[in-house]
Amino acid sequence: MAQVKLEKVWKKYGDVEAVKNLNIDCRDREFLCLLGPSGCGKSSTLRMIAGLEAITSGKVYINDAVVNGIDPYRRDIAMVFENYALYPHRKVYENLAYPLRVQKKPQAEIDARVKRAADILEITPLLDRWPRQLSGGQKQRVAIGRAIVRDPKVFLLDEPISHLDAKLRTHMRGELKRLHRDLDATMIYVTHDQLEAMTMADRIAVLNFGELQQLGTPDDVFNHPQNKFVAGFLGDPPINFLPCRLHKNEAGWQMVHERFKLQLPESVTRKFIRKDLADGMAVDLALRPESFEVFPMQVPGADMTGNVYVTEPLGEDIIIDISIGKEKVKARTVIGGNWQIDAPIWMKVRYDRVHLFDSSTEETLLV
Amino acid sequence: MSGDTVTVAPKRATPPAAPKKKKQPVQMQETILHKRTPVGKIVTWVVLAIWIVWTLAPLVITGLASIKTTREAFATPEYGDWGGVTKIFEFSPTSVHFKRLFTQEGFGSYIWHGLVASVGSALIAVIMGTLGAYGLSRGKFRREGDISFWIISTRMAPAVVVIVPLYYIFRSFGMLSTLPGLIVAYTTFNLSFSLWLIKGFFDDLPIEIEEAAHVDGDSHWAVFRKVAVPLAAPGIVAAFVLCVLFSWNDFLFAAVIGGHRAKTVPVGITELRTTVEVLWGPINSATIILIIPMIALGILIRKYLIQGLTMGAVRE
Repeated sequence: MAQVKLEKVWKKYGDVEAVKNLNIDCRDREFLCLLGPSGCGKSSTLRMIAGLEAITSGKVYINDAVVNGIDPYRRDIAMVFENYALYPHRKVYENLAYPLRVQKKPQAEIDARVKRAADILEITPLLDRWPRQLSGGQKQRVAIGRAIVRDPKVFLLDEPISHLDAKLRTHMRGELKRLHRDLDATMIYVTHDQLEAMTMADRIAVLNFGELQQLGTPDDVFNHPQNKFVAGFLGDPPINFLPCRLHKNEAGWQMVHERFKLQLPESVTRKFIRKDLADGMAVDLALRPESFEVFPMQVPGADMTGNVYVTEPLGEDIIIDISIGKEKVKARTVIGGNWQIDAPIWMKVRYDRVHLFDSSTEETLLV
Repeated sequence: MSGDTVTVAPKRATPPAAPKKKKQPVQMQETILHKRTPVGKIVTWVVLAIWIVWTLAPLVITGLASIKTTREAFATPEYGDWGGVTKIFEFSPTSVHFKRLFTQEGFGSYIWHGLVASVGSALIAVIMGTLGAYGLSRGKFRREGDISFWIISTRMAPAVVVIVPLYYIFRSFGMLSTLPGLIVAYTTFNLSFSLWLIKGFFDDLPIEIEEAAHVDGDSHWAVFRKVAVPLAAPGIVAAFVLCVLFSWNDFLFAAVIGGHRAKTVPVGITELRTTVEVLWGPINSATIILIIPMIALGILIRKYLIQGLTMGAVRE
């Protein structure tokens, strides 16, 4: 197995900078997710690691060896493509056997390895079929099988399950995670689906506009987002931003919104990373839908109030869209209660879950 | 929460048995595009019948005339004498015209020349065309579009335009009246055609399949040989067949470049019209000889041909 390192990697297509100064370090046997919206450079990054795309500048290392300019077939990597890329003119068995045939392995070993991979992925009954006779989920399994028949240094997966239907996708998330554990392999996984990244990854690299926004564990990126983008990209429903001004008063710091004022408790202000906070500076208060408590009546200690805009029951939970002046926020709470549209609603903020971002730099203000 | 009592529906022990489906004959769904009306059916059949008569009648007449004596061949009924139509089919088959072609007119060697020239040039055109098409389809280089257009533009000018310069060029190389000369001449127009046809196929192959083979351990050449070419095979076969047919049918190049020593069937046929008489029987026989390989090839690779001519253009 192996580690992969990207050092100051740039990718330019003409004048377009797809990847900018990327530094990522994928540890041995790690499941690393490259997460970002479409066009953020995550696929380009993966393809540079695979050797399918030339590196404009910077270095890519696999196990301390620079692989810039080395052809894909000499890198000892396996890749699963978004559209599976099975060989349509070969049966499933031959698709799986292909990487071994290239290496001129003896037939007995090919048989054994193909059988093992087929067993792991439960595709043994499909071995004699043509790729065109398979369903999407089966094709995807074959594509993964082709990657695992030989023991590559690194597995690269480019949105392998994004074309499956929702139910199968949920199932395959678990399967892939288990597969990673069983193979004890280094895997780099590209996805635009934050749920996939959160559930499967050891660490997540969040990319936007070709730049690394944050690299950390799922807990890190979710609970300690470095900037507004990361905070907004992870979580469903997405995090709520409320533009405020930060004012100093005798009790400490106060957030002032046109519709409410929040006195920040010491538990929050002690987490300020910067000491040079200006009185009156523009900040974004970021609250996840789970960071409110909502009440249909006035309660002591309520932090803000608004009106119910619409409700979205989800079975167990209910999402309540609340309008606070011009802004709308989403709050999640357990189902029940009688939420009438346009009725007033009171909210308490859970201060241990508050995020604050500098509106001008969009960087976090809290540790 | 409402205070309603919660009732739990008893779980069904077994799901209700699905009604057994009778196997129904496969039927075309009647949709707006596949609407069936009796009038439509009749029109379809009438048009098809006219089309079949129109295309097959000349072949039938030629075929029959090729195995009739000249006297029988000209024994056609009077105009308006519909009963006399049967006369067309009253004859005793003879192979005298075919024998004459091979014994007196030297058609054996004409056929050989035609086969060598057409298959030879088709092979060269397809091999070089496949390589060139792959390069143009996958490679990234400057003025790629211009190069592609230039290649196809060589097929746009009528052959007559280039025949005179080609004649001089071939003469200075001593290639007039030779089979290699004829092969090269045919390749001039077959190559650009096959390159364009095959390029369409490579363009339609998903690049990821080749990238997968790359990652699986194949070099560029191995990917081309083991993945790209097999997947473009229908296009390559179609290009090969069409190149063979173009050359086999060609008259102009064969007459000018092939000259006397590399004469092909179409040129041979024109020489059956002598200053003394027109040898109708042998002309008909020779025509059948000219057509047979085309029909045989067409039937043999019909599947590839249809796929080859449609798949290059239509994205799946």
